[in-house]
Amino acid sequence: MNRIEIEVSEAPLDAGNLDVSSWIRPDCGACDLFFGTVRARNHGREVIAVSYDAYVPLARRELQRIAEEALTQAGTHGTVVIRHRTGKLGVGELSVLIAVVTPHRAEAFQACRYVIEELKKRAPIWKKEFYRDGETEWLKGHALCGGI
Amino acid sequence: MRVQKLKLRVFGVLRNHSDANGMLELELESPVDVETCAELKDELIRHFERNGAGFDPGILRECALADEESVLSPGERLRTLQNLALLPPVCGG
Repeated sequence: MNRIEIEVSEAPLDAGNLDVSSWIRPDCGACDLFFGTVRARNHGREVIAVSYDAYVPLARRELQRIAEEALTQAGTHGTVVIRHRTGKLGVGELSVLIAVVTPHRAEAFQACRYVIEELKKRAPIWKKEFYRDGETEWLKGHALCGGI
Repeated sequence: MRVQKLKLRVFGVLRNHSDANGMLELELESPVDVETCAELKDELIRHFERNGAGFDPGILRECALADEESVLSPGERLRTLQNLALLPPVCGG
């Protein structure tokens, strides 16, 4: 039985206060965690903050689909937790958290990698960077399948 | 489907051109008939090329139409003009 938890919200993600024990299950022996954080430099520019915009209802559905696919393509079962921030974040803050719990480690790593790569290509989420010099920029990303 | 006035939810770089609720409202010069998402997008591009948008209308070529359930493919037949969103290329993570 798979268990999938998806959250896209302004709620801060605190690496020191995660409910990891609630994700662990007796039929699984591996838990792989991935954190994405706000980096202080991008393409040579000094970043002081990032703002995430999201189409939340669609993002939740798309992340649910990605989580299910991740377990299927890894040929396993388990738990997938995906949490993505919206709103303005400072350097060093967690923007995304992915936890994958599976019976064995190889599948946990594989599924976790699948989730972050697909999230970047498919989740309706956008990133605006704020630079030290006062400028801002929406980052260019991946066109969704509707793009021509 | 006949279109003249249109209200789209927009995100990312297009928010610079929306109202405070993230909505972009527009009115085509005259009503047009569109069947698919690609046809609607072509009309939007033509509209902004004629009227100016404060942004390069070419960005619309990279945008997708979507509703709350899924991203709509270019050839998909439009069932409604309600609750449509226009999504620029994504950049999460």
